[in-house]
Amino acid sequence: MPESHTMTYQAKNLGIGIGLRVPHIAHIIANKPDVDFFEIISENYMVDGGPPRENLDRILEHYPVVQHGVSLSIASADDLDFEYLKKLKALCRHTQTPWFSDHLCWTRCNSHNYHDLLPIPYTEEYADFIAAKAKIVQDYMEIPFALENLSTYVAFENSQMPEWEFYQRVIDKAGVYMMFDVNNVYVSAVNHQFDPVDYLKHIDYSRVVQCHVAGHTELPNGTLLDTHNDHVKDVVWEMYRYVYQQTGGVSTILEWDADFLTFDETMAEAAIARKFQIQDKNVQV
Amino acid sequence: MPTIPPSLLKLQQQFGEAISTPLELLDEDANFRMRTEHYDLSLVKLLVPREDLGLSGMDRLATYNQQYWFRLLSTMQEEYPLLARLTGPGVFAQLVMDYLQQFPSNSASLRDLSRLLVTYMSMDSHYNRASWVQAAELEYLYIHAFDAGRLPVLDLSHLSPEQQVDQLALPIRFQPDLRLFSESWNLVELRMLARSENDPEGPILIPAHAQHHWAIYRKEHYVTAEAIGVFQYQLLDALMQGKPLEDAVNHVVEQTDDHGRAFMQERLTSWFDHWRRLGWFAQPDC
Ligand SMILES: [Fe+2]
Repeated sequence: MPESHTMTYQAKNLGIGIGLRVPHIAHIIANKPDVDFFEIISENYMVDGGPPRENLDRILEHYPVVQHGVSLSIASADDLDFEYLKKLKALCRHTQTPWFSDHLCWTRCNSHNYHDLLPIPYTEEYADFIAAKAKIVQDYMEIPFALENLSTYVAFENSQMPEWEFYQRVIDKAGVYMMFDVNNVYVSAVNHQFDPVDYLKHIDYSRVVQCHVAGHTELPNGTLLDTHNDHVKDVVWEMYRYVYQQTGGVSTILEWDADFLTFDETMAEAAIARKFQIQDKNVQV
Repeated sequence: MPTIPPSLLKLQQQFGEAISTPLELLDEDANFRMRTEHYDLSLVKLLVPREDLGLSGMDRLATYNQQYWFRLLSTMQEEYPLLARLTGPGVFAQLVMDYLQQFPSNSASLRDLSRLLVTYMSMDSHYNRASWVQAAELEYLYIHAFDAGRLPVLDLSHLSPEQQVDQLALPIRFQPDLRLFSESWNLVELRMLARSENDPEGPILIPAHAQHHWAIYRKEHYVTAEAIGVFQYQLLDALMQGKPLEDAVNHVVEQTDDHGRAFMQERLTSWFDHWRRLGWFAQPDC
């Protein structure tokens, strides 16, 4: 654990993995396929018991697992939920995840959980408020905390800075890390008409501990939705090539959450990442 | 904790209210429209339109409103297939929206979404129909059983049959997933029908009134229902309320005649043996 944001945690590159999802679990347990690592949605395993926990233990016997959450609500005006954090910390100790991640968003207000990753305006005041909370979370959890950039479908008139600046400011002020979702950059870029290359060029890649790639859906009205139900678009792979090179090699997860493929097909999609993992200083985006 | 920016709290209250605005159902098949006219205009003014796509701030906010209800409705549809079939899709969607307006989710987990559904249905005259409420009770037991913890299973293998009987005379501890369910129709089997992929869509007719008793529990990785007789139900119910075995047996015996008493005594040992084999008993809390 770094003591301040001036130190950079050297995250291990775990390789290429997929999000662990129910339709594949029986296959994985029965066949123990060759996979570098899996990512779990923390909240699905923060239960007393039952099949998810039993299956997780069987997966942990054979694979490294990293944890990714959806309900921390770091950007919420609500206080941090220490009951939630206590359960999360217990699960992190159990899985031995090297870091844990959640989204730079809010999911809860006045204790009402909206079960969605919701956006906020990009202001200095909000960035500093979120950074202060993120620092408390990382200190409490005692392992590196990585925040994921969001896909958004609205933008706010009162934003004072572009998304990448807001994201980087939170990370730097809190001394936390980045769970960099390449598809989310693309989705937000299309939805809000900014150049994704500008975004990619403004990121401090020394803070990135993990990457996501995923597919998205275009609504009839032109909005891109982060649905994780389709193949990764070529343009997103091209962006990934640049991100991978800039990080010097980073753990990569393919997220696929609906309209599931077979396990082998999902792994084949994830393996495409290997073609873009080029260590060449001249890679341009 | 850092000081909460008041403007952030206000924005999130407005945003949360807008995206949880109930959808307007247009027909019995649960086709709907977003009630964008209910959004707070001071919030809408803060949102950047996409004029090139013809999208106003309101239209963009509606994407979140739609996503919010799609996620919650599909979660409830998955967990309550029988209730959804009994009510039909339109009434089910309206029920879910009315319920979640009254009892919004306050948990990080979608598994807790329906924790107060039965309470809500019992309070609301629109939904307080006995078969619907019992279906909701049953389907909640399936959720509970799936997520419940597991205690070490009672192991009597090293004991003689006599010692095993003595062991059962101790306070009995049940696995947390096990719940009893007494119902007035045959909802357990109707639920299987509702879940079966071959079954055609459309409303399910409630069969004639008949009392059924069940034990709902988790077997390996799925939840199942074991049909039990009325004496078994009463006995298990008494034991699960913490009555010692002898008191529980007496409690059931008192409610029956000589014929019933003989029937019970004859079967008691085999019932316990069967329940133990099903893994319903946990090791005593030492
Ligand atoms: Fe992601």
